[in-house]
Amino acid sequence: MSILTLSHLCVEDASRPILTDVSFTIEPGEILGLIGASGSGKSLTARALAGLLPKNLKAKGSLVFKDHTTSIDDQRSFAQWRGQDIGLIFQDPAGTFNPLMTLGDHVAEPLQLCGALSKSDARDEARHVLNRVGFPTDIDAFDRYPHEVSGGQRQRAMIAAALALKPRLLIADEPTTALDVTIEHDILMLLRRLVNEEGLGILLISHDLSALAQIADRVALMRDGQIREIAALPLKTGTAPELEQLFAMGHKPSLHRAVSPDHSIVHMQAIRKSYPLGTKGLLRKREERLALDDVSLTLNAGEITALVGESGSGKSSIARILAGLDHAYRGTHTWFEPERIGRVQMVFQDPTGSLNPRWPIGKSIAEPLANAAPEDNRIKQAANEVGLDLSLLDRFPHQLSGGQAQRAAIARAIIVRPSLLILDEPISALDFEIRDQILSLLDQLRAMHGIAMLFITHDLNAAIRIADRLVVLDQGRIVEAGAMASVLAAPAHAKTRAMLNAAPALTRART
Amino acid sequence: MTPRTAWIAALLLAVFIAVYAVVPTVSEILNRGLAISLDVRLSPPSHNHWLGTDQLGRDSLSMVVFGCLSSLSVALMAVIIGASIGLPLGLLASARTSIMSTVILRLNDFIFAFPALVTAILIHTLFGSGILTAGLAIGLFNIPVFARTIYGAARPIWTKDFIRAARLAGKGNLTIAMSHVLPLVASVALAQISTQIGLGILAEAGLSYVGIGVTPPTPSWGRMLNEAQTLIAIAPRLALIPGVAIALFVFMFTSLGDYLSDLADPKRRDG
Amino acid sequence: MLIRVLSQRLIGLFGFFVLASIVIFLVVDVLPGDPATLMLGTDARPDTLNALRHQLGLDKPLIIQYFSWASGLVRLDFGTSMTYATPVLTLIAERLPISLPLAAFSLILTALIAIPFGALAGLKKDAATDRIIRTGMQISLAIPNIWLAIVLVLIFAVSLHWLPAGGFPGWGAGVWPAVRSLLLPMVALAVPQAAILARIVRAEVIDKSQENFVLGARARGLSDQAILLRHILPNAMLPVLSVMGLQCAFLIAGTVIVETGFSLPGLGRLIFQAINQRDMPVVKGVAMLLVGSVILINSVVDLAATLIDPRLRRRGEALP
Repeated sequence: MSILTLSHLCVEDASRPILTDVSFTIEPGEILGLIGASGSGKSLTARALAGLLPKNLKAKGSLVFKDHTTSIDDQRSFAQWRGQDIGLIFQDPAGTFNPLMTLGDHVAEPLQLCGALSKSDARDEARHVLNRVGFPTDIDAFDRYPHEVSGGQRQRAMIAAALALKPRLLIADEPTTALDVTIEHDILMLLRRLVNEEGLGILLISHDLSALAQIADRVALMRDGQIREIAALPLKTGTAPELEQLFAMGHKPSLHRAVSPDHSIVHMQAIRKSYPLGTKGLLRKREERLALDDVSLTLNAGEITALVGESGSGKSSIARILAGLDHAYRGTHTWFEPERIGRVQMVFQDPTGSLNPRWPIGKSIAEPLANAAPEDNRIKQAANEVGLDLSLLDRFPHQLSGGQAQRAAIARAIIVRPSLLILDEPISALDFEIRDQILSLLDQLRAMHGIAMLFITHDLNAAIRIADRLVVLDQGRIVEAGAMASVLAAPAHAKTRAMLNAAPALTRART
Repeated sequence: MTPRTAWIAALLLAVFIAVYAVVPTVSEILNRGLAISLDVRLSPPSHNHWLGTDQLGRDSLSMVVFGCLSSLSVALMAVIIGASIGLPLGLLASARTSIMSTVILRLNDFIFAFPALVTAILIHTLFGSGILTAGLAIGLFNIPVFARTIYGAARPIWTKDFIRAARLAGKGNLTIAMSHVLPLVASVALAQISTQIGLGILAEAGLSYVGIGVTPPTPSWGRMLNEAQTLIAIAPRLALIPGVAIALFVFMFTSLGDYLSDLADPKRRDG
Repeated sequence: MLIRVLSQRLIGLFGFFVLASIVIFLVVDVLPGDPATLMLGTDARPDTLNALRHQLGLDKPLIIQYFSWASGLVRLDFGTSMTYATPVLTLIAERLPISLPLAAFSLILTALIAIPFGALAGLKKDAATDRIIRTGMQISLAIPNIWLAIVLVLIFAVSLHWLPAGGFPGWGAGVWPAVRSLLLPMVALAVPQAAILARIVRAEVIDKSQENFVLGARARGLSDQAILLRHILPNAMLPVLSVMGLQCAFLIAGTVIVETGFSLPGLGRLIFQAINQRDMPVVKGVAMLLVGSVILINSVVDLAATLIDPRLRRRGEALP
């Protein structure tokens, strides 16, 4: 008996269909993965299953849930089920918590209001549930506010709140996207454990194939509001060609090469950096957090160095110091290239936010040039080099897709022929299918211009795909550095090994 | 604020401006209306005096029209003072978190503690009453208003990645402020200007009412209200006329300001 | 942490008080020239002028003059009025029982009008209810409170004879007669301020309704009512609280103006008489009181916001 059967879900707004004929079932003890690019309609499907569609959308279709057939727009049934029988968790655990309430109260709230427990019973039960999802058992954590704990702990608390009333179905919408790899791994394992132990059914939505490949039993591929393929994992050859193609993209051969670097561009020596914590006291010394501790690093022309670490490890501090946007507290960096405008350029994570919303793309690309006419040939040349259609130069950032905007940002960075290009999580905000195109582009540019690149990422797989050298940063210290091949063959530091283990390898999916 | 209301406000404003453009040609007639003539005092609306006359026989229409000039000149002066000082201060404070911005923000809070009325009383002890006193007092209070608004709108822009990219393109703070930040906050500033003109008219009315604003014989809406109050039982018309005029003008400017700020804030426009 | 915040605020508060007193002292006593001549007129006899200067301490250096005034302030000694020959503090104390309740009641009334209407408009965003409330707010904002006062008098005093047109019988005449004479001024003060506050409440409710924590609460199965009361309103109230703090400046100024309109013998009448009679100790004292209360109220509101919001109260620790 399936937990849920969804048949022929169609959603449309005033002008066009958004979801067409979406049907699937979820069995007890099963994780159904739903993958698709942003805008493919996967989050909308999740919302529809919880009766939380935006009011301006029209929905058709039926579902069978709890031996009960109902229409998808039956708000009353959903109001009953939501929280009780259907739990939801979201990508952004920080935003989905009320900042004025403790984590414990968030978990106790549905128990008290919907589960009709007394306040103290609800709190006891909430502690129990938090325990069940592996939240640290001490009372302190129970009384903490959302901003006082880490992203992983927030996500655990959200899972606890969603499971408090013991629903049969959990809808997880990109639950690990904002988390570091090792923590992502923990959360995914937790979900798998809950499914195995409690017979829960999970709809796991992600744009990250590797996350799904780790724990899903079946995967559905969504594109343009339609389910294209549904297949069990591991994939059998020939059953699901589009999914196979996607999985194949995930383990393309590494592009790294053992180049003998012709010359060094910059050398950082024993850099220390700390940030003040909180507000400055009038009479007392500031508390400080050490962001970088004795970091030394050399970057070479024509070489891609990957800087990998979890959030808060100090990756961005290195980028800012190298770019001259921030100063080191101690230590030196020596350039082997003459000082000039555009010696260092950067590409940022959010492509749209890195372009002035009121400027046409061409103007943004030309910004580093001292005096460029709108028709300057260098602009067109840069656009051509990054594969950006020339007709887009007159458009504005919001009219471009994420991939196009990122190409424009790269064009702006290379238009002055920088000696060093810093790429700060350049593909994290992009769809799975576009990521590899951007990586290939970067590889080409490196070969074409001999630029030194510092590729900052939390995604070890992307680093392995493109970089020649790997530097692992942990809590402000470099714990591992060396040629990619040799580090992969024999990682020296425990942190590197942990990250390699947690890095969602696609082995399970291989046929 | 719906676009339609904003259009009506803008249209009305345009009509008024057009009327004031021709004021010089009719000013003689209107000026004559300002003369005191006790034999026609408190006469009801008539062919000669469309809105009637006040307790000194002055034509109410003339008074309202010239009162508008006092109100607008005080409000405009206040906005010019407020915007020309507050806007650069807010922009400067937003550029980076340093001693400078802390000082500016604290100074802002400090000026904010002086209500325009108290400032007016203090300036009054220096210069006496007058358009200058009222404009200066309201203008001083406008400084932190503009500085805060611009700071609030500009601060998030400075943390955007395209500002970092501009720094890497070799641009300094001033160039970035002028080429990136200012154009993005211009609409916010424009909305604030419109709103503050409206609120300035209100404040001027209050100051003139208590006698520390525009001085007689210059007509002023606030003074008209004050003088009408004692005659409220005999001629309520005298109190209604300037009141409606103030409300109408304030409504026009604040509505326009609202509409402009809706345009400037995409979140509020769509959401 | 709390003690640190408190001590910082207290230092800031003290600094603002000092700065305000310096500004007021400079503007009233120093910049206009010789206060004695200003008070007695230019044709006064030199020996009378000198006597007054000596009486006022004007023959001492400016620094000494400032410190004797400022140290008086600390001891709540605001000096002596020239016209009444009474301590300024006594004069203020006589007027406060009118001005203080008027300002406080108006603030309460402002909140009572603004919060329900603003929240309702925010929840019914773009529906007819919202449009009506917004138009009402827009109009109330545009009405000058003195004119509202006159219209209210015209309706409720002149035509209906329900309430007095002005004057104040004193609290000694009983609570109800006193409150009755404060009712109209209260409404005249509160309505325009309520319009401003209601706009903020509406914007905040709309803003907070779109936050993800509302989605989170719905996902946990909470009813719309529980979401409004437990999540949207508490979060919306924080910014509303600080706007109310800022509104105190307007309310205090408004009180002074509206008192004049209703011929209430409050601080307003005191300071305007003092201006006309060039009674500088009173002007300084009342100005200091008004500015001081704005500073104090804003600090208290600031502190309250810090205490309510856990994000400001306890610093987030970056746990791994």
